[in-house]
Amino acid sequence: MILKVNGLTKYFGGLAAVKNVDFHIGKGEILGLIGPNGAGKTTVFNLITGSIPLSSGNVIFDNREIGRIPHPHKICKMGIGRTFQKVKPFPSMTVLDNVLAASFCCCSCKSDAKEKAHEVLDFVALSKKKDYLGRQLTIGDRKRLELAKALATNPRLILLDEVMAGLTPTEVNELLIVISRIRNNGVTIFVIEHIMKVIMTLSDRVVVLHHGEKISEGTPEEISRNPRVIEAYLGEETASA
Amino acid sequence: MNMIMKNQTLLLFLLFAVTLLLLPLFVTNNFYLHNMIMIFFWASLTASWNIIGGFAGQISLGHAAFFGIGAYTSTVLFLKLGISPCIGLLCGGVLSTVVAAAISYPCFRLKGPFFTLSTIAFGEVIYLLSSYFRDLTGGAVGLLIPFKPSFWNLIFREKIYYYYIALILMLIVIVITQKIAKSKMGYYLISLREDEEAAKAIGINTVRYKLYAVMISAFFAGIAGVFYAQYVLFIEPKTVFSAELSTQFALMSIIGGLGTVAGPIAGAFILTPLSEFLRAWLGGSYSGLHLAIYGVILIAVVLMMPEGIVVWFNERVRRIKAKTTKGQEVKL
Amino acid sequence: MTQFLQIVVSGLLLGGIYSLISIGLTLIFGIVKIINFAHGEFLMVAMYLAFWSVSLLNMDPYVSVILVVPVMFVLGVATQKIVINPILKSPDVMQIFATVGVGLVLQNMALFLWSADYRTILTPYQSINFELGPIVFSFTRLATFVLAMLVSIGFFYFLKHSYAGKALRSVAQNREAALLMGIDVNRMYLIAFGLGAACVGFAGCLLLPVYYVFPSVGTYFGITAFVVVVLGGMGNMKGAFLGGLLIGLVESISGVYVDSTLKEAIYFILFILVLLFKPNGLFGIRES
Repeated sequence: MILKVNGLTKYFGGLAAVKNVDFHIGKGEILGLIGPNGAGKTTVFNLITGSIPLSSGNVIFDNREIGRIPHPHKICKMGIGRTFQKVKPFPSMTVLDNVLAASFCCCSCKSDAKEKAHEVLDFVALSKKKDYLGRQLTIGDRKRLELAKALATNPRLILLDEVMAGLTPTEVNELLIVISRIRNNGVTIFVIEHIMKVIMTLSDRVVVLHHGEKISEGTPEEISRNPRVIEAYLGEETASA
Repeated sequence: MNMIMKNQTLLLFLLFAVTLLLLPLFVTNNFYLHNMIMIFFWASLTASWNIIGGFAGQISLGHAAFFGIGAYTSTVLFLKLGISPCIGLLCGGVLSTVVAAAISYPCFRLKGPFFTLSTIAFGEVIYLLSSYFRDLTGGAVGLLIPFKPSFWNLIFREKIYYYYIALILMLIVIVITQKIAKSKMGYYLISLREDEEAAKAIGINTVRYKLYAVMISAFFAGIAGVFYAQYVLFIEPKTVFSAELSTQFALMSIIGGLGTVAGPIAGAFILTPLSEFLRAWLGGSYSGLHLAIYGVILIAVVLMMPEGIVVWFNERVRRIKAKTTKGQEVKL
Repeated sequence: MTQFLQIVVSGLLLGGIYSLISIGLTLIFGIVKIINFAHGEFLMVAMYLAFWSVSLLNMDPYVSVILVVPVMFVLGVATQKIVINPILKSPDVMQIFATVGVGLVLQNMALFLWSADYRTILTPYQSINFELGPIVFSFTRLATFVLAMLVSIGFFYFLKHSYAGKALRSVAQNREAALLMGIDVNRMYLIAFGLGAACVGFAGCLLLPVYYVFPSVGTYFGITAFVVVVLGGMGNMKGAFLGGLLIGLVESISGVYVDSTLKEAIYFILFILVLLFKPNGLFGIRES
């Protein structure tokens, strides 16, 4: 088990954004996280990465308690990488420099970092655009860049927050291939998605969140038949590819 | 492509340095020498401001504090304890660095204009304290350094010595800025400027790097302060701690090009002669005009060429050169 | 005790001016979301305008509002249109330096044109004092305070009840929603900046009889306005109003018991502490 979350709770004022959430991720697994809008999915990610402090609960990564470390950079150095729902390229840096900055996380020497950056860019198929500025990229490429930056930090667990949103069906398929290659490299993946096809194809298991609480957990087939899950999504238009 | 650019840059720099090193052989007029000294001096100051303001994107409008601390440290040590400014140079730099770290650390959690407001406030506090502790600093009246030329006193009769000291300081700051820009630190600073949250997510300890940046920046500002004291031989809070000074450090970098190595230098080379020239031409009645003109140029740059004059110029040159290639912005 | 009351009264009278200046600044921040680093210089321009109205046109300073306020309104609108509008979406640093640039130009043009001399005006009523029991009020300070209060209150009323006022508040609360409601947001920005400058215009006229005018007069009042606005909560008009009075009091009281240079230093340290620990101000951020 690479990540274990117990009783994860976050209050914003009087409102519980996340309440008593338990789950675990096995090493090399792909765990999906779904739920209607506002269910608290990104909050869970933010709690794990230390972007926001948790109200109560435990986050145990590789047998180490990390819930009390409110420093995202430390969490990153421990081996958890993430992408953001709203992509954050460094706009005035080139694609290469964007990834190079991330590569310094594990390689102190510039030439090593550069090598790593090129490697990662090849992996996500962005090498051709390495001299483009961050702000010149299309949304599809920005997502790849986001992924590349997270990968350049050599994560053992990577958190993908709606990495498929806004992509064309072709782009989605291409990215699916990249993600399975990430898994093949031994990286554990925790993915938030709205696109059902992606979640069903990709995930080994799925956790379903609603109003901040876990309402179901199981294989994609199991949760798609779960009446509570269906109810939560009733009236919601789920994006289907 | 990168290798060619790297060598081109190095060549340009060497040309630049050699020209300035040899200049006094041809120019002996004191007025021009003074002008050059002022240019080097401003260039050093604005280039060091640029490390925290340009690369790290933390806009400080209280930087004169570090300049003044440097000036006062070495002067007080010299006047009260007879310690040579050659040593005072280091003391001034170090004290500025320490103060910078102490006051910036809590303020780094503030965003954008709020950080700027806090730097303005700190600048004012240090200014006020310097006037208040008049036993130590001589108060608002200022401190006069007696003219006793010697190397040990770092006071010289001929301007040429000051010229070379100022030039070397500027060249050192340029080299250090370049080294930072190309190193891990440079990438980290620019990253945290572009998007602090994303920077943290890729393992950058943003507070630590901001601290490094402000400390290096303050160190050189402090040294420049010592140099100023030794050149002008008179310092007072009104001059060395003034808000106008702080603003000028920033605006020269912005006009030249924020976050670039050449930008601040260009800014200083363009704006300093302007003010020195005005001062000579209009004499007493010039007061403030150069700053008003700086203000207009600043607004013009902000509105029309926010990347600064250097980048704007490079773009023009590049477009003329490469008319046939597809328009792809290439980084400096 | 009498002395203490006297100090309190002086403080409040001064505070009225701070309130008025700060209301303008916080209005601009609340609606355009820009910190106007030239706000102090706007005050300085207003004071000079009032001064010239008095010396050249023989107007009474309180009457000069008729001239000064519209001119300041236009100056505010022009600043917004020429300097701010083009860079509304630019990074913070550009927005900061746009107004810093404006302030720099204003202050130094004043220095160049009118020199650094301190100027003041004499009015026939300036040595009139009222006595309320043991406390002495000078007529000019009292008039300044009363008028400042009236203008502030009138302004609140305008914001609360007029259509334009509601439109302004809606832009402050949610720009996108206001756009969808058919409000011309850009026009609101112009009006907001104009009104912010107009407030300062009033303040300038009111300040002239009790203070000197010189090119850097704006620096002190400008920074004080920042302190008040941060204390009161950025964009919070009532906070600016109360904050101004509070700062006037603090200044007056500490002026007596603390050395003046140190007093100002403490003042800024308090400002920094508020920025760090209570960034929403003592009164919190609420739209008025």
